[in-house]
Amino acid sequence: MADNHDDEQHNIQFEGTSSGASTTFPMQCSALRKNGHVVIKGRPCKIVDMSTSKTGKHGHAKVHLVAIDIFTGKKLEDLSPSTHNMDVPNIKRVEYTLINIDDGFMNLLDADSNQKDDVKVPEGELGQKLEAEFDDGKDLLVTVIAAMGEEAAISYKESPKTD
Amino acid sequence: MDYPTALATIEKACAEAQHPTTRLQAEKVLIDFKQSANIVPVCQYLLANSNTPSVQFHAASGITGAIVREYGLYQKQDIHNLQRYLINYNLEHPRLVPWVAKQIYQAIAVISKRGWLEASEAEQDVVYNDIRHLLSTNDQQKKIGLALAHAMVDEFSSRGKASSVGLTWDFHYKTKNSFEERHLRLLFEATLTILHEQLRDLMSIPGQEVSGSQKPLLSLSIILLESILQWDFATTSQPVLAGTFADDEDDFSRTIVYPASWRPVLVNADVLSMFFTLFPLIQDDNIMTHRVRQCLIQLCGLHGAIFENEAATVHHISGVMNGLLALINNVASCSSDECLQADYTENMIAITEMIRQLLSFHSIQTICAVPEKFDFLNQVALLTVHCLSESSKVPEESESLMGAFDELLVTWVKLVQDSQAAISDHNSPALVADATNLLQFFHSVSYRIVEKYIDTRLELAKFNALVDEESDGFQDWETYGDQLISIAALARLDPHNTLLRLQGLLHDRIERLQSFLSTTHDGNHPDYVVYIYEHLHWLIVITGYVFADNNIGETALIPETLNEVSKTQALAQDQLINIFSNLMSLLDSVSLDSHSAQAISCSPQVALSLFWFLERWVKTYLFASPENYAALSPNLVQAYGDASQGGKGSSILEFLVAKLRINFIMWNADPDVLIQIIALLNTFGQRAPVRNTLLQSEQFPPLVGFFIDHLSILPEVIHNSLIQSITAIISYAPTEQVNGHYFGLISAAIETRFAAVLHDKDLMTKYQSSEVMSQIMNGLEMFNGLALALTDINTPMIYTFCSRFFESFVNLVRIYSNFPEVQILVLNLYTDLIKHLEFTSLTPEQVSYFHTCLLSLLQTFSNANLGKKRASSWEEAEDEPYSDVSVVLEMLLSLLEVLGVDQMLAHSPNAVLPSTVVFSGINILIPMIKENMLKIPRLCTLYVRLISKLVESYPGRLVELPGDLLNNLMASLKFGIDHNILEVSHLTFQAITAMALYACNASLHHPAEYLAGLRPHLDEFLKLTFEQLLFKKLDMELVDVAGSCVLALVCARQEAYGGLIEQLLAASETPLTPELQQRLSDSFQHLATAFPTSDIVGQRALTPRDIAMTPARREIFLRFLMGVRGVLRVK
Repeated sequence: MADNHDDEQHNIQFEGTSSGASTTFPMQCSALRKNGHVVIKGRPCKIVDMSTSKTGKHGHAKVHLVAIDIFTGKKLEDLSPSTHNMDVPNIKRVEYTLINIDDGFMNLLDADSNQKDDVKVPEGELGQKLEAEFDDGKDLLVTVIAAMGEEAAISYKESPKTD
Repeated sequence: MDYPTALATIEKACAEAQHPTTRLQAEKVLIDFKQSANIVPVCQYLLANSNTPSVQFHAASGITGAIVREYGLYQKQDIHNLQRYLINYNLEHPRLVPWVAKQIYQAIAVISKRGWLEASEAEQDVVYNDIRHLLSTNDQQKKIGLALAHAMVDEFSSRGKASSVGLTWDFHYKTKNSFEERHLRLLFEATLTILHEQLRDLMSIPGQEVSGSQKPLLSLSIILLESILQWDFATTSQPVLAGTFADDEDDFSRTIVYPASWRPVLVNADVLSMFFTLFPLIQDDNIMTHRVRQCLIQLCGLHGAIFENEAATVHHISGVMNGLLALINNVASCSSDECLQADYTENMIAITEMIRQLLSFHSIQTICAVPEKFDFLNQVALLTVHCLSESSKVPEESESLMGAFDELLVTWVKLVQDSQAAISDHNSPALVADATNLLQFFHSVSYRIVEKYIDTRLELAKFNALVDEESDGFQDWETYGDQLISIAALARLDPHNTLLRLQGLLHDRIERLQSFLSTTHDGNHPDYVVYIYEHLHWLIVITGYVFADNNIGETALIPETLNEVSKTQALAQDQLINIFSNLMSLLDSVSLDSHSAQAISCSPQVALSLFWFLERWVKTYLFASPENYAALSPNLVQAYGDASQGGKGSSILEFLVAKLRINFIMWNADPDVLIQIIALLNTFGQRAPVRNTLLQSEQFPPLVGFFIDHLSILPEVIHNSLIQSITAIISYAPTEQVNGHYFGLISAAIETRFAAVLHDKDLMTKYQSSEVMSQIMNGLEMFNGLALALTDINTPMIYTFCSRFFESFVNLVRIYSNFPEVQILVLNLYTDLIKHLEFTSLTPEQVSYFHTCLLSLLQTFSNANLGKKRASSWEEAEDEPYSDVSVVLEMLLSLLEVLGVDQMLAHSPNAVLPSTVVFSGINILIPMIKENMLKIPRLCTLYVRLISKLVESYPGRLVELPGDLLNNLMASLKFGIDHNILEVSHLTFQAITAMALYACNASLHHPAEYLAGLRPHLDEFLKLTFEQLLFKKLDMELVDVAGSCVLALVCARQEAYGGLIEQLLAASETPLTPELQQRLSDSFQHLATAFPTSDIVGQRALTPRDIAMTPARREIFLRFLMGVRGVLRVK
């Protein structure tokens, strides 16, 4: 898994400027879902594994979470009593049309033709493939995920042909 | 290279091989040297002139290699001289380091084995005679004789110790059998003589140090004897598939059945007593002790043809019992803290194994005839109790000693059952009397063991209760299930005393807990409370096992002896009823308001155990119907029976439902407890009287509302199963009216929650909000719960309700095109609908509509995901990677497994057929499957299962597929043939068989070009299948499927078959001598007799029966495999 230090430095957090809707909400640990999201060590994460354990045979359940930071791909873990509340990030996923790639940043257009230029090309193999396909002249749709003031492209596909 | 130069080179290389910087180069020099031609004289020169052990070692292994490689170039006399030279070399060099000496012995053995089959008996005897001679001279020579004998035994054995010499399986097999017949027993006898001398010596000077280095002859002879006793005898071992070589690791000890010819040496009181006498004398040496224990275990387990008659058997058992009595006294009089830990435990385990071996192979009649039986069994009973006491003393040894206890427990239960069977089977009066006597004895023993077991479990709490170790996910009643079943069997021999003990302990611990709970106010609890919880947990578990068996699928009955006890007791004194009341008072005390301080100090494990107990108890006791018993105890009828019989079962059920609800809230964050409570709910649903009473109860409607209202705060893992349980209970309501009423209740509850979100006009703007998503996902899971509860009875009702939402579900996949978590839930829901809908109780229109929705679901899913690139490293981090792919796989597979739909839709010309959906799905799926996904066993198995099923179900559609797709499918099958997951190979052979059969039949009424696309693939399969059969590792379990596959392929591709075999054989590693060619050709001719005959092939359509593996065909096929694999498989 690539460690994206650069990415972290480039992403400036705009917590103060959010529209007022809170970036997270609380949920009892036991009610979290696998494939759902959770905040661990201040980072928004996707839960990839969830199991319960106990402290001692007659202790109360604890939830062991394994999750990956949705922006850096870094694996994070957490162990909390199952009755405790944890923060769940509000996640937004938007699909954009890719217009151009400019110095590692993508020029994107949303469904209402608003331009957006502040999302980086993803790191690693995904980003390389994306650039290559874009250079081949393919029309690409990029999915950008946003949570807790950060954004990143997580997947892309060729836009469906309209005859 | 002259000899001195060679010596210098090898000396240098051996020295350089010690240093990391020069190692690689030096090793290459050594390998090149050993592979060069005609090196035997050079090696002899090295042996004679070097004192460096590693040079000597390489010289010896060089000789072995050369002989194996160039055997044909040597004269027999040269070979014998070489052998003699090597033996003398060892004699002349008594101070050789052990690994060099061993390499030389191995060289002698390999040379002997290599020439074995061509040698005359006299020539075969050369090494044996040398050994006999060595064993009859001085100590040094005896040592060499024993070591050489051991090398011979290893080299000729089939246990994976033989060197790889590039020869056929047949060769290894024949040499082993010949050696076994001619020399093995004689070597055993000669070694026994040495052991006897050594033992005499040991006893003549008491108190001497006994260790392998001080007593090399003793140690070597013991090791050799043990090796021989582990021999896999050709006459008595399981038949192996030709060409199967044992793995090196395949070395576990097992009970060997010895041939009758070994009678004089094994059924021999002197031999037996020699080992028993030896055992205590060699305790200072771990290795010798271990080997002697293994020998004794084999001697204790002697059975079968080795005994001439019953009297001999009885005599032998009696000898073993006497020997064991001394050992048992020895170990039972000593406590683990006095003795050396490891030895103590290992001895205990070995002795229990000896006892089990002794008692498990003989009939009750034989055992009854042994005069010492009661003395012996009495000692075994003491040992059993002793074993339990010791296991609670030292935590590290506890599990091992419990293992030893298990051996004894299994033996007791077997003896009890055998005696009971001997009595009930109308045997001779004498035998019945003997068995009754024995049973009487077991009666008195059983309670002693049960009582000690209960005490030990409570004692062990001090090790287990506070330990903070990672749980393996299994509950104690699963981990110790076998042990508990046996304990229950013994307990039921004397139920009164067992129940008395359980009740006393329960009463005491419950009182102590109640008194603690009534005083605690801060949620903390001292350690003693944890011990009480651990005690209660074990008492509940043991009670559960004693009270009832875990019957699945049949009516659980109250154990006979418990029913009898209950009949003899007054209601107020009834032990069964009082213990249950105790447990219910415990349940009452620990069912608390979740916010109270007391609740925080409660044990979820105890709650879990109680609900586990109730699951068993409800199955067996609640509303137990007297019709199932000759005479059911009136107490039980009165306490737990139906109101119509004056029973109070309903009030118990009401109590349980109330407690269940409290515990559901109390443990809402503990999935384990919730899952167990749902299991209890399922039990309510499975038993008609319980279910009907529950449905009539006023508590039920609020219970349903309660579950649905609280679903969102409950753990995800229980969502589906909770709705499933409730739906199942409702589905079997006694009248349609009640049924409709409740289903209306539950469906309305789901609909109001789900439809409100779904039809919200602002959905598109807020579908990503966490609240909306959570409602959508919970809603989908409730539908999934309904799908899981589908049966033939409720299918129309549930279908009608769900189908109103089918298109909405598909729409959700479109809306949530970037949310795999939602898509997976929808796919799962559809998959469970496919799996559980009873299609035959729907109309063709309904089925067709369902298929239309499936098509549209697959298309929508494909639009959302096809060509989407994600970072694969993320995917791999998941617990279940590629879950979307695996759920589509599962969906299509389930669809293929539905039966009868095609016939149903046969008369509806416009209906959408399942095959249409499947092929559309395959088109979408195949491009999504990437090679790295198939490295994940679960995905790989699912994928091959799907492809095989597809090929089997629709072979005719294959020819219509686009070339790319067909090639892709066929490539998956080629990949599956020699896959290391057995199931994958199995499925692959089945699929190829179906395809070949289809091709065979299609050629009857289609022109040749019709099959043009399939033919190259079939030829390839024919080749791959034969390669597998002739040259590669083959699992016995694949023989049948592979056999049918061969028959089908040969019928389909007769043209390709002929030339193929010659081509394959030409590529064999074994040089094909004329003799071998004859054997192979005979084998193939013999195989042809299994093929369907020419009056069928090409004349009419073949059915699977025509190529099925009948016993006759299997025999032909196995003989064929023996014929070819014996000479083509090489080690």
